[in-house]
Amino acid sequence: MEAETSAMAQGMRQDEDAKLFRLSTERHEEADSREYADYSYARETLGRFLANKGATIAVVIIFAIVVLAIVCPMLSPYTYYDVDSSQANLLPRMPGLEQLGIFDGTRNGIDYYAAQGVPDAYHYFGTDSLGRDIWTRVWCGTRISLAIALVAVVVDVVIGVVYGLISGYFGGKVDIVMQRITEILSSIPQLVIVTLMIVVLQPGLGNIVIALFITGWIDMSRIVRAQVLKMKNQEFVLAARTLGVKPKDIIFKEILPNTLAQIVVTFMFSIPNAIFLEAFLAFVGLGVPAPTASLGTLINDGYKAATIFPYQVVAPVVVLAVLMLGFNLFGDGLRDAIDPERS
Amino acid sequence: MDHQRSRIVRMRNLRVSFKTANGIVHAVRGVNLDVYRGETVAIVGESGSGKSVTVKQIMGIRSHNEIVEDGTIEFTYADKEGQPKTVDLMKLNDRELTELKGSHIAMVFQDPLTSLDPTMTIERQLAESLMQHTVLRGDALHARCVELLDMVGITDIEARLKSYPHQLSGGMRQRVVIAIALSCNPDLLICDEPTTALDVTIQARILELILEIQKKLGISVIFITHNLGVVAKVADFVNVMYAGKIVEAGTAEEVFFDPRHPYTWGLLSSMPSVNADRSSCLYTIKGNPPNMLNEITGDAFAPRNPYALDIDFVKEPPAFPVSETHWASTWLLDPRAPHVELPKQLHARIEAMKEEGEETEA
Amino acid sequence: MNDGAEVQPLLEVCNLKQYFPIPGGNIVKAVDDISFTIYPGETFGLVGESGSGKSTTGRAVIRLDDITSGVIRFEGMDISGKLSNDAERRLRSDMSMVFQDPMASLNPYHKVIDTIATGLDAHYPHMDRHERAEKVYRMMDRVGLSRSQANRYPSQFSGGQRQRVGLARALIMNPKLLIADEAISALDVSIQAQVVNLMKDIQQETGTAYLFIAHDLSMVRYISQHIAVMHLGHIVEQGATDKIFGNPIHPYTKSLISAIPRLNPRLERNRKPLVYSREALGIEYGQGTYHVVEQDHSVLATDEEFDSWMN
Repeated sequence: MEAETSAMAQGMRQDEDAKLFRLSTERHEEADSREYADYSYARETLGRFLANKGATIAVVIIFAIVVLAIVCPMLSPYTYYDVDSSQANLLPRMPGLEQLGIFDGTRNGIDYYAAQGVPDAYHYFGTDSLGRDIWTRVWCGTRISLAIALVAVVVDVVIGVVYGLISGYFGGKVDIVMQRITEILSSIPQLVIVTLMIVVLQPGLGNIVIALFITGWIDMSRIVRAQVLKMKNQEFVLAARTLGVKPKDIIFKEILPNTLAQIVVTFMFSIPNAIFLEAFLAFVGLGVPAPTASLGTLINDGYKAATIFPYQVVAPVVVLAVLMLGFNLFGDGLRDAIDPERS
Repeated sequence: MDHQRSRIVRMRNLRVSFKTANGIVHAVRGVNLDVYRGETVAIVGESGSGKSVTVKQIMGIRSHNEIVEDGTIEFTYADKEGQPKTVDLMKLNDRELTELKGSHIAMVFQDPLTSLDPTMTIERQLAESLMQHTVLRGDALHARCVELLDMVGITDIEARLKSYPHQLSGGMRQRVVIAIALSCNPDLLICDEPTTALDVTIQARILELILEIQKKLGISVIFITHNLGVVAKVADFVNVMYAGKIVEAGTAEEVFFDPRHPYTWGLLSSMPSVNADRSSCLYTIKGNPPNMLNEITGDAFAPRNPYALDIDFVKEPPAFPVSETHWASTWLLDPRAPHVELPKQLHARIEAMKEEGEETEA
Repeated sequence: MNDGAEVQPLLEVCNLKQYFPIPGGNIVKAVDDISFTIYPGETFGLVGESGSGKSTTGRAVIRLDDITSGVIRFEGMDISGKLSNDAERRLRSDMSMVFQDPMASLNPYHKVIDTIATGLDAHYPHMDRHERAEKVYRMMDRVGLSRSQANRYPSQFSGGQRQRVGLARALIMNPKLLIADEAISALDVSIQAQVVNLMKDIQQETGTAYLFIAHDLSMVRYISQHIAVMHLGHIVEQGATDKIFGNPIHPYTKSLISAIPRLNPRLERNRKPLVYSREALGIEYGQGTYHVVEQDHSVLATDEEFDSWMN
């Protein structure tokens, strides 16, 4: 080590300009402007999210489905409610693809369209037993399913967040009472409550939404409460208290921003749950009343003929499955993007 | 210094970087380190100096975004037949490295709570390590566990063996961690800030323990810390790190009584001494450590160095020897540099220390 | 310290007890009957190891927790029980706190300018925006932060800089008493020195008193005029800094001072620190009373202990 250092020093000696060996008089501005590029949480989180291929594709697919749900019924020559028994149970037939021998409305050589006297009609997903166009009904159904899910979840979030914030921050008796209530409510399975509510209130679009959010907020409130309990003793919250910040401001200005990430992720995951619950209700006969369609009612109608006309159940099932998978991947991706250290 | 010094670690030109969202952080920029048998080498530095990263390379502990750019770490030990063997730790595969770890190299980390498995009793954790590297079983194994806990100064051993980590105090946990590290008679013990999380009275006892063990077993110790007082207590050799490089190295005597690098001067001056004059102002090093994302031209310490020369901003200083064992990387040691005196306060303090030393000697 | 003119104490803590019930029915006596006084403009160091109750004391003084028993008087006002609105307002603007963890003491979602203005927003919610910004900038200048960084987030600052933000936040309301709860413990040594020097300067300028809670005796010695040494919820010795360090009486104080590593390798290698064992010495803090050692220096001891230690 010793020999090495003197050799190094020797070698260096020749190169430098002797003039440089003076005490530096310039006060070199301390590079304390630590070159942190103007850093934004949002941008970094977005970057992490986009790096997750599964999640990004999921977002694209969800977006595509939403667009289809809005646009397709508008462009379709058929409505979701027109009944035409002459066009009942027609196989799917799409222009273009029918040249290839698939989706041409025939099976085992029989052209059902011609047989029923409508050789010029095209039903992309076929028709159901009442002659209604399934393509239109599927996309209308998607609209309904999404709407129900979204409204239910938004109400969930609002109730759940406020409940959790209050219960968590004030603690003591308030917390004890509020938690007992949630415990009682959550001890009854959500499915049972929802089913009972519909039976009592009678199936209908509004009532389904009500049934869904009656218990859906509990999870959110628990998650928010847990976050609040964690945050309550953080030093920045203590600092706010010592400076005289009012409890209302502490809850909304100090604690809430720190729980937003969890709230968004939980929100994302509640959507597939709501969609599924609605589909389940429909499946047991408590869904939106006909002729309104939701993905659930479509599946319910379609499964009765599933062995003979499988196409009637396949389309809504696939859309439902893709939607749920999409939201799950989206939620996963969001969670990993917001809180990368967890992995 | 003993002429029988045999070297067990020879680290040359270690360069390690990290890939982060903001760019590449050059954490270690060419570190040379030597450790000799039976001696304690301290690495002193503040956060961001790269001391932990450097030493973790010896154990092969790397994060997923860590890139080793260059460097060799030669480790000399006696293999199973007792023959001296030298390997480059950087070139070993996982299996070979795992064999060395525990039996020849062991590490003690800062937080004893997370170093121990909370679901296993102390005895099981000691036994786990022993079973891996020795053939001891049954009663012999138990006896060895007792012996180890005794060596680290734990009383009431049978009860402690059956306890869980959360039932022990911080100081005791750290003793257990040290016992586990020593269980297979390693040649080298690496301690990464082992007393930083402990109370000062416990710290003093753990340091005493490490010193004792070192004398008794003749092992080598690498001690990482940011506390110069700890260094004064345990170190034979001191390496001062700043911004990924060692800027000064020497025996504890040399670095404390004859420091040559302005950063070392700053460090020594910013620690209030229990004996120093209270009314004097505490010297501080202005500014903050550099942002390691950027390429550094010249001496990394230059912007904060009140004794910086123009050349410090242009070219990095090489290591200048001060004695056989002492060197510093500062242009102030170049014969062409102007003569710079030690800061007065530090000079006074060193003189006072010399007198203190003589008093005890006498 | 208190000569001729009658200087009113800024903070009086009398027989403070903080007991906390824990699940299982037991009680943790975090603070068990302590008393001390802080005068305007001085620094009072509260030293102890983990579990000594020093942080709990700080939190009790600033009323983050309710008081189990005892009296705390601030600016002559009793702040021990339920606070009136007026008392609360005065307490929250005349006393403030700086915390230990530079990462956790700043809200990661708030810009630094908003964090520093927290006190202003709470007390003067309708302050003109420009005036608010000016006050924050002036504070940033004072603590050595660059104004250009006002719109940044805490994650863009180093530990030392974050502590300066915390300091700015605490000082913006011009408090009479600032409690520094291990405010420098998490910082690098050279940065600790910077922050401590800054605090000293500010004290010179504004006359703010400090309650400096720490476990690093050498730093506490450097900054405080008076010190109290705590162990297991009791103050075992207190008085003027010089007297405590020059003539420590209580064996715990002696062991604490002895445990500090000296910066002298020649000395340190062979120096064995004093070991203190309360049980071995048979000391029961509850049985002791305060004995005066000399002016401005007292120790907690029974009469026998006091006699034996003094000789």
